Amino acid sequence: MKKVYGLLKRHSIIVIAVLGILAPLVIRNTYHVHIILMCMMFGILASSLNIAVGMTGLSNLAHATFFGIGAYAAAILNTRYGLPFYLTFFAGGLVAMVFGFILGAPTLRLKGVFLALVTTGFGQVVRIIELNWVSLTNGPMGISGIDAAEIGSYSFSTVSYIYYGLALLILCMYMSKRLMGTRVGRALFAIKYDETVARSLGVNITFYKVGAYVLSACMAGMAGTIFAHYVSFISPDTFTVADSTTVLCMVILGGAGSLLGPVIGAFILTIAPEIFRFAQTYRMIFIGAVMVIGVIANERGWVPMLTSKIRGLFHRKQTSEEGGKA
Amino acid sequence: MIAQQLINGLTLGVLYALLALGYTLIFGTLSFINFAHGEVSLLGAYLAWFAIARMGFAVIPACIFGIIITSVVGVIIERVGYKPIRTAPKLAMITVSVGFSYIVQTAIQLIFGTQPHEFKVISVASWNFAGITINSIHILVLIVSIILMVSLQLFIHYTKSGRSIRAISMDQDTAGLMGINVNATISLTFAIGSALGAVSSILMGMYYAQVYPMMGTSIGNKAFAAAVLGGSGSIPGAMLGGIMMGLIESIAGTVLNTQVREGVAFVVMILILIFKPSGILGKEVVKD
Amino acid sequence: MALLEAQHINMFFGGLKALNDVSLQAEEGKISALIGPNGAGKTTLFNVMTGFLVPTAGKVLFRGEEVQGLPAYKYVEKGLSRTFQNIRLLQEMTVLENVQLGCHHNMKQNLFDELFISPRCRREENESRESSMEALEFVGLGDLAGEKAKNLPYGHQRKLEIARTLATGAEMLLFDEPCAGMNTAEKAQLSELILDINKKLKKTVMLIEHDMRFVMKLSDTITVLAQGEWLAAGSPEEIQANPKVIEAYLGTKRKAVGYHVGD
Repeated sequence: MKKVYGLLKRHSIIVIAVLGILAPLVIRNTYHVHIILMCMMFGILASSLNIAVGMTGLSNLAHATFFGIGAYAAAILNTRYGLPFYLTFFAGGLVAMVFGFILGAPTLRLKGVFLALVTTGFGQVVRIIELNWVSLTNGPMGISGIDAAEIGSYSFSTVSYIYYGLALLILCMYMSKRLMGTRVGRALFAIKYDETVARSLGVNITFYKVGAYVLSACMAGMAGTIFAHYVSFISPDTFTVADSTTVLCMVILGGAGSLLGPVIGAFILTIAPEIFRFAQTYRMIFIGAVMVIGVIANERGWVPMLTSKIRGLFHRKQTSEEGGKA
Repeated sequence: MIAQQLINGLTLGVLYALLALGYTLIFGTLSFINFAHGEVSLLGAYLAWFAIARMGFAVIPACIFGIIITSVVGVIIERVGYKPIRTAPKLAMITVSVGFSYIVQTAIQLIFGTQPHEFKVISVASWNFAGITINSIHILVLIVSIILMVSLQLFIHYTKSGRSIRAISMDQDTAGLMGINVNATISLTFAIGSALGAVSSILMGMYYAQVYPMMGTSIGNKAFAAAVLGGSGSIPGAMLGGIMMGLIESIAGTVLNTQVREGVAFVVMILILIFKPSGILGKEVVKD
Repeated sequence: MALLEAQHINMFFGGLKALNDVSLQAEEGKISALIGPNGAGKTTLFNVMTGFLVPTAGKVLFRGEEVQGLPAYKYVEKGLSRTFQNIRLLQEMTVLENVQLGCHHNMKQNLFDELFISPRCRREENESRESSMEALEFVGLGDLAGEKAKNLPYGHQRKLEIARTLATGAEMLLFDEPCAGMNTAEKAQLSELILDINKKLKKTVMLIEHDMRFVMKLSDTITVLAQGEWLAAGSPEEIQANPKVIEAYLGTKRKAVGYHVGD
């Protein structure tokens, strides 16, 4: 049992990959396929937000905005200029990176609450632009008729979007894993824990902070392009401020700074409302309650206690759990 | 035309200021922005509406009912939600407050319905001076707000509880060591902040002659932007910030459409945070 | 030749003159000390010399090159590394990771190297691990590499901070009150360590310290500051005999405590 747990933990990326590959083969119901795809999307969002929030210690309440920016970029480029998916995918990532830079560069001095406020404002302003710059975004009506993704002559079935999302999710997780324990990641964590020390040891914090924003925005933007081609219709209501806070909640509950935690958090918070079949209003109460109860429980140490209990079930005898990876 | 905009802007501004006071009081004591404040405050207007329309209360008792219940809800949320995680990273508190904002907003929709309700509780008389219309609600709002702001200043500066609030906003630990009951004082801050917010939302309901579920978020957003503009944690700052925000918005309204006008508050807030995070009257130190 | 030199440094905070026309030199290969009563501006001068503060006026020269005004992170590249008065470790990271962070500026690998596990990435990570382990073993913490920094006892945390400066490869190390809060035995051990760093590793060391016995034993030269002004400089013997220094110390002690303190 102990070995199994250790193996699962060490190879969590492979586990997620295998589950992701198998799931669509078993599950055929369109609704379920949609939920799995949403799991992938939120998994990418949570995992990429974790690079900024969990590793670098920046607060960001506008992550879904980058997702939306990527989706809009794909929609506009595809419907206006006929760009195919494999080009809009990278273009969306690029546009999101530019916006990540626009948000990250001027706000370097800010921390905590103030940074959270700026990012909230940024999310709102982008939304208002989406609603009002009608010649570009078609305003509240949104953009419809986005082509289904195709590469060459091969057009995607709904299930293939899952594989596309899965690939990006795996990339995000792999990137996080490589960052933990190498030079760039150490610099990010150092900024999170103590900026003064980071500076004194030669870390260019300006570069890494903006970099963390840009990188996480890029991943979210790319996920947005996949989503845009999948649903074929997007509007400003597709990506709300509430989605941004939900993603943040996924990261915090899953464990900011851990590799697998945010992804698990994303899966649970995506699937749970569906299982209970909440209507939209009840869903918001559910999400709100999870934020309140979950974060309080987490901060008071109930979640770590619970996980260590569960781990204890696997371990039976006392073991020396390897540190640093959690 | 401009004079009319100034009157409207000033009226809106003092309402934002009342709400901003709640944000700034809470920021002063706990160093975080309580994202649920707008929604909690809106409860005041809804409860007053409910007391009048469904329970047959007279206007003033209904408003008092709304204010008291809102204040109690504010304190309960503080006790249940923020007290257990006071020492946690601020991001956790922010997340919890966003969670509460969802819960309260949804609860309002479930209890009172998603449709707007008419909120015409006092008969409105209006006067015309050289093309400027002033109605009784303008006057009511200005008088009530000014009385409340002056009383708050007197309370903060000249009472024992007021001194406790100021002491805690300077240094919570030391205040505690000096024998100030920190928990009670923080609860008091939430009670006052929520009550002021309730007054603001009731007056706002009268001003627009309706209440609707998204109103809390919408005016709450502008009010926290106003609190930041004036200087987070500064009481005179919140008043100044609120009035400025009202004026900016109503002047911007003459050239921009309604939706874009919503964004002006955020743009102002972002610019302030980037160039002068302490706001106009705030302390120079940026806490995290 | 002076490795690090501060020339006529003024540092004002608003109306407060924290440093007023202070100059000092640190000779290459020597241990120099910066002493003075509380509030003399020692840490302020350290902050100026390591790029955390930009002086209001004056120059900081390292190897004859002006470095004042550079961003703080560039000072390590130049060859200056420091510790802090209050221990500043990355508490949640392991001891080894804390030290490896010191190698940051010596490494060239970027995100893409790390993603593709390029040969450069593998080589640099190995090298940084090896040099960090060397530094840890030098200060005697080799066995604790895998522990979280916060689990170390106080004395070890000080040593870890020193190991981190060693790992940067900087030629000049600045220690801000390295033995604050230590007992006599720990202090003796630490002074051995600092001598070793100076003699065996050929590092130039500058330290701020309050313990006079410690300072007199270690230092080749001493600079004294009082109330933001340069007071004296010289060998330990000269400083001990300098009436101005004695007055500055005893004067403030009288003021602070109210009666004459021996020792």
